[in-house]
Amino acid sequence: MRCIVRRRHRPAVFPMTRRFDHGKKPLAKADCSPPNGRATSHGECYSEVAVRTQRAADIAVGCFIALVGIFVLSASTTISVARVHRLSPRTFPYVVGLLLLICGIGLALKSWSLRGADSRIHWPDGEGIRTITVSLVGLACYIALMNPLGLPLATFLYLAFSTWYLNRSRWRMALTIALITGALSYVLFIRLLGLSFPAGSLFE
Amino acid sequence: MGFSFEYLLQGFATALTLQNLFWALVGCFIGTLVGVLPGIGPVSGIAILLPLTTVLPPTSAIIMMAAIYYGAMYGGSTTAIVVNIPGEASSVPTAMDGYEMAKQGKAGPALAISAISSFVAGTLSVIALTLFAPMLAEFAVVFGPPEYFALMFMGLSLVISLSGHALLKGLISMALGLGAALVGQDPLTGAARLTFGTVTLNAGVDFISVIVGLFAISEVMINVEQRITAISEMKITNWMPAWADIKQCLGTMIRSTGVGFFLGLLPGCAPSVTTFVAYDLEKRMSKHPERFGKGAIEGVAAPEGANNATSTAGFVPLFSFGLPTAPSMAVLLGGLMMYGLQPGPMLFAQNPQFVWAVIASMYIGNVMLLILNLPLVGMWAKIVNIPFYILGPMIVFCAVVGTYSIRFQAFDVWVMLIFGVIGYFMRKLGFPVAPMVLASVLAQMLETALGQSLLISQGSPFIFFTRPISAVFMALAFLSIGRGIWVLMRAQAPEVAVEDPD
Repeated sequence: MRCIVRRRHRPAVFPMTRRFDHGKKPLAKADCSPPNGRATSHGECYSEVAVRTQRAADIAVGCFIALVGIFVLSASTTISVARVHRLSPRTFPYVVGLLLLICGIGLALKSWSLRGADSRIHWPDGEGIRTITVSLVGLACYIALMNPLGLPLATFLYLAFSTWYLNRSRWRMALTIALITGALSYVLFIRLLGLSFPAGSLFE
Repeated sequence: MGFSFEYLLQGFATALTLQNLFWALVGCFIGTLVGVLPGIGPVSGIAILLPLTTVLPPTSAIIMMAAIYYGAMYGGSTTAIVVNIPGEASSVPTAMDGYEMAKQGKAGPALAISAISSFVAGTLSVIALTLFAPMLAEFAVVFGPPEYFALMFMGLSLVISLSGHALLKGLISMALGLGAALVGQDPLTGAARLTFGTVTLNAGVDFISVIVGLFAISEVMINVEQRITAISEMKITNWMPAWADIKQCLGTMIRSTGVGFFLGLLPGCAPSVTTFVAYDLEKRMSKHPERFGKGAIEGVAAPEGANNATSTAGFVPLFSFGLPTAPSMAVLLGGLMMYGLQPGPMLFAQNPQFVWAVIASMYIGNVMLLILNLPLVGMWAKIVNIPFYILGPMIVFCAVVGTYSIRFQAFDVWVMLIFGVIGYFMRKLGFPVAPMVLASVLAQMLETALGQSLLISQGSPFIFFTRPISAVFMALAFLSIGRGIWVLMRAQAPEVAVEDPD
């Protein structure tokens, strides 16, 4: 998978990446030390408040997964069983539920028993959380508006907003890209390929 | 059913039709593009395009999908060499020496040798695929449901146990993938499973939504979080390597092909593993190992050859046994099934025209990629400069369009969004993604094979241990699980998966 900067085991340095600039003041209370004690020079900032250790996270996730396992097991008991087949439709869901339960407990217990060696998870800082949340809400609105507004208009709105949000100084570019892509989506997917995307009342 | 020149020539005749050549070129172009661009990789690229290719004939569609996969291996090195950003874990060794070469003003030769090495390894691996795949398929004809179940079980076990020191997380990831695939109606009895009484969930969760969410959306979230905007450009003037450099790397290319190809036959042995092995081997064999890490041209040729060989090797188990060894292969398997083609030994017997056309297209694709990557390498390097505030939303747009077109339901896109968030947390918490993808694609085949096996054995699970081939697969599966448990017991640090999800 392509990515820019993230893997803990990457020894490389990333000296040439530029970052979003929303024209705001520098991040407060940010811990810019490298994750896991490794040296990186790409200047990522991680929230001190949100940082949890891998051990603590594994204990919490292990418990959560075990609960999911119990939930799957209880949901599996409601599956109606046909007697004509050797393999009951409940078998696989039971296996999944049991695996989740056992592995969840195992992960929590194993992490609980670890002492000493630990590493930090670098969660985003406040600004990062806000950017991700707004981006996800934008995507959720895009999906929700797809059927009522149609693909071209929903695409235009989503791209105009997201591109502008990620770089607020380039609003003209955001509008241009959104307009071209919205129009292209109509011409290519609806007119040329004849796929069953909602066109919306503007184009119907 | 084994290898014959007649079949291969027929394959070339089909692959060389104007339509198939065009789609191979489109695939090579998109592949290089997704390899170069940050935030999108071959898995997302193939998964997004798969539902949109239903307008194409199956042969053209799979030729294009395959070209995207091996094309991405060519493009992946560009950012590693030019700007020291290994876009994939498999490009880390390339960055070590490639960026050092770039700093010494030899970025052009480094990029060129990576393209040449990719071409040599890609072509040699396709020759090996041509010879091995039909041979193995002939052997796999005797496989019944128990052998298939055991084979898939072994594949999943290997993928889990090879994903770093994270056996429990790998198992959880696999269970979640199986769970997602079980939502909906049971294929045998029609009973609703894990639908919680909702009608929407009756149709089930499509694996493409899962994969696009896990890869494309979570990747965009990671980049958005880190507030990356763009990658700066490096000026390159001299593009061609000296003939002496190519001669110096010939042995390296052949050795890395061998390493990459044979390790790539194993499930879970991703390019991220084989490239390091190939790099290490070259360093050990070199008369001047001290040059490695300081701009040794063999240090670029070795990983680039190995990752191309590994990607092609993945087609051997896919075509012969219907076994995907990596997430990209799992998506391709899903694509084959979508077109009503049953991957496995019968593919060679029942659809020889299709399978040989795809293999033949790989020879042609490698030539296309060499042409696309050698003279046009400057263009690809410039594409890296597309700012993320444009690229990120465009990736999301492509993901939404691709996912919506699976069944033209917004439900699939919501599933993609949910799995995007799950994928984000999995990456943050060190969970391997590959077992989840493979399990979500293999779930139905696993369940069918298990059901049929139990029908044959009248309910006895010992059938997997009494038939010799399935017994070998089961033994290997338990060995890999045992190895995972051994590593788990010895580990004194929290579990963190080390993998290249592509």
